[in-house]
Amino acid sequence: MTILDSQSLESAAAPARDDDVVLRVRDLKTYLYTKRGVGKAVDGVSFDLRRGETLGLVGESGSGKSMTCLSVLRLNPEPASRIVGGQILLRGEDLLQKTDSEMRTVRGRRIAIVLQDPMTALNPVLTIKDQVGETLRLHQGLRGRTLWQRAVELLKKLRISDPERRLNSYPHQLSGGMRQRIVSAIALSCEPEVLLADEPTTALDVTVQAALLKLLKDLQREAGFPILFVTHDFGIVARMCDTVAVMYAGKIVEKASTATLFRSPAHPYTQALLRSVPDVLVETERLASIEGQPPSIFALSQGCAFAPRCPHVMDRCRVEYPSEIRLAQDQTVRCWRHA
Amino acid sequence: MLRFVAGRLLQALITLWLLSLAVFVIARVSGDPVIILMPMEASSQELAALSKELGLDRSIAHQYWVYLQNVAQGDFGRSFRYRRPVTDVVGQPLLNTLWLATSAIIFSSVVGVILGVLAATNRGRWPDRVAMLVSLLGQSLPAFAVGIIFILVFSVTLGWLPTSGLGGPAHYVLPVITLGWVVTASVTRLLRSSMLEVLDSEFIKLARAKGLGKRTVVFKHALRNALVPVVTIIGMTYGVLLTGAITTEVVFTWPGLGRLAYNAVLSRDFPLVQFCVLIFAALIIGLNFLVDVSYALLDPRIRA
Repeated sequence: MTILDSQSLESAAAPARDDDVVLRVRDLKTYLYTKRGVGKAVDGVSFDLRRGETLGLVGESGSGKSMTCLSVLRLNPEPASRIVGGQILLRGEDLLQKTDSEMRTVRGRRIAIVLQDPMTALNPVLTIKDQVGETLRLHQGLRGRTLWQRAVELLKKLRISDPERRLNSYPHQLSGGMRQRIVSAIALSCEPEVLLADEPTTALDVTVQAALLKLLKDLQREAGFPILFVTHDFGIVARMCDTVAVMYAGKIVEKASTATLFRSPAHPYTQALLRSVPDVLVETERLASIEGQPPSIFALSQGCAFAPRCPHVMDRCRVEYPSEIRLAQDQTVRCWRHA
Repeated sequence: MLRFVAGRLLQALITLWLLSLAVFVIARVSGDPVIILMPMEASSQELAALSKELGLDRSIAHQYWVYLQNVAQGDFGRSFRYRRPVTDVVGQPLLNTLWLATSAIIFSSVVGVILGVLAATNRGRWPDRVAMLVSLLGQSLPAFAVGIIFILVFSVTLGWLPTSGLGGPAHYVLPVITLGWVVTASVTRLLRSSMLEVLDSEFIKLARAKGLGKRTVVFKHALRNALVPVVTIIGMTYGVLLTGAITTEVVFTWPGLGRLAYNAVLSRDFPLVQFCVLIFAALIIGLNFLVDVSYALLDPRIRA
């Protein structure tokens, strides 16, 4: 176990497969500006997304995972929040250097997103055809008959029955699962290089959820796009993700391959999270929970944000934020216990 | 849709009938028009003769029965005061009011929507502040004050616009702004808040994530959703403008329906009062119907 600075860490892990990196986020900082002060919603987040890979971004609500997702598209709510630093490299092009109009050619075409709640993600007053067709029209210049055919194809690909009829429907005429397929169809309509999925199945019931996840996985295998999968559900992580990044108070505290993370979680927070997942085979009286409250991002201390809740806390934790420590080829952690 | 329309039509007829009954009775309880119509020194025989001529000597029930029969044949009676069929008397003033109220509602809808959109999309910046100031003034200044100030500034001092009466487009400017300002104010406010709510929704986030430009996001995705509550206000206020523009009509001596109805009440011109009320009611019922239809056009969820 050695401490590496992030620069040498990259060069140690990445060079062989560097061509495969589609999206590289470096030291991304998105701050909230409110009357209460400055909140570090995303505070120095770095990750790579490789072709065909699914990276799970896990954490409690408020940990900054959705904000990370939106920041990648530069759709973080303005003027309440601002991206104040870092790089978002899409095949080497820094999205933070792009103009607004250049950014619009990235959104929906090169990077697409599936939002959390399918019930509200579709515009209630426009037909499905309008909403699915919008990206095809905008980014691929399709019109009339060809547009219609492509939309039908897309819906078929998403295994939506009776696509012609669905296209003429309004969102309120469709079920939640169906709507989320439509939202996914919109996301995949222009064959994006990266798919962001912001808790796409949280609002769905379990069977519908399973079907949608399988569908996404199949489509990913076919097209090879990487997915940044934001979730708080370890069941989904186990099923969907190759690697996992655990977020706490705006920072990634542990990153590992899914198997490693489940086998030997290194950060006390990750360990606590995994303990709080109920096991159907073990009878428990009470669900395990993590003592204390997540910290306010408006009042973070110098030290590790998890220190106040950490069972293994040391003096050093309270004064100095841990640097990234590589535990294995596929695991890094920010915790002084491993230094 | 056809059943919907037929049902509403039946409802409207029943409403109008009940209203005609109420107005008929209330008008007759208010006093005897013969006293106003005849000179002070008229004898009681002369009064009785006029009363008989106008049919006012019979019981109210009988009078109403005769009235209903006439209405069924399209005869709404003759004005006591003008000695002409009320349909004739009302014609021109109704048109004048329609023109004024319609111009005012179009003006305030257009200006209100523009200001509301600007305010919502520039929240907290100067366009928002300007829109909110315009709206605050519109809601707090009464029409009679605004009208008189306008006349003083633009007609008397600057001499740009006529002070009163009917005429070319220039005659419309001041009355329309006076009448429309308060409506502009409520449209602006309502649209701003409903727009802000819509702009915060998930489907707007998705629309932006599709790479759509700001204009498409605002006008195609947000505005139509935000308009639903605004359309109600516009429809309802249009009714108020049509029937209640009395202040503005008086300030600008606009020969409209409001003034006519007001005078008819003062002179106990029953047939004219009754007809004016029926027209007001019909206008409002018709407007409510249009508002309902426009809902269905704007929001597919209501169509189902």
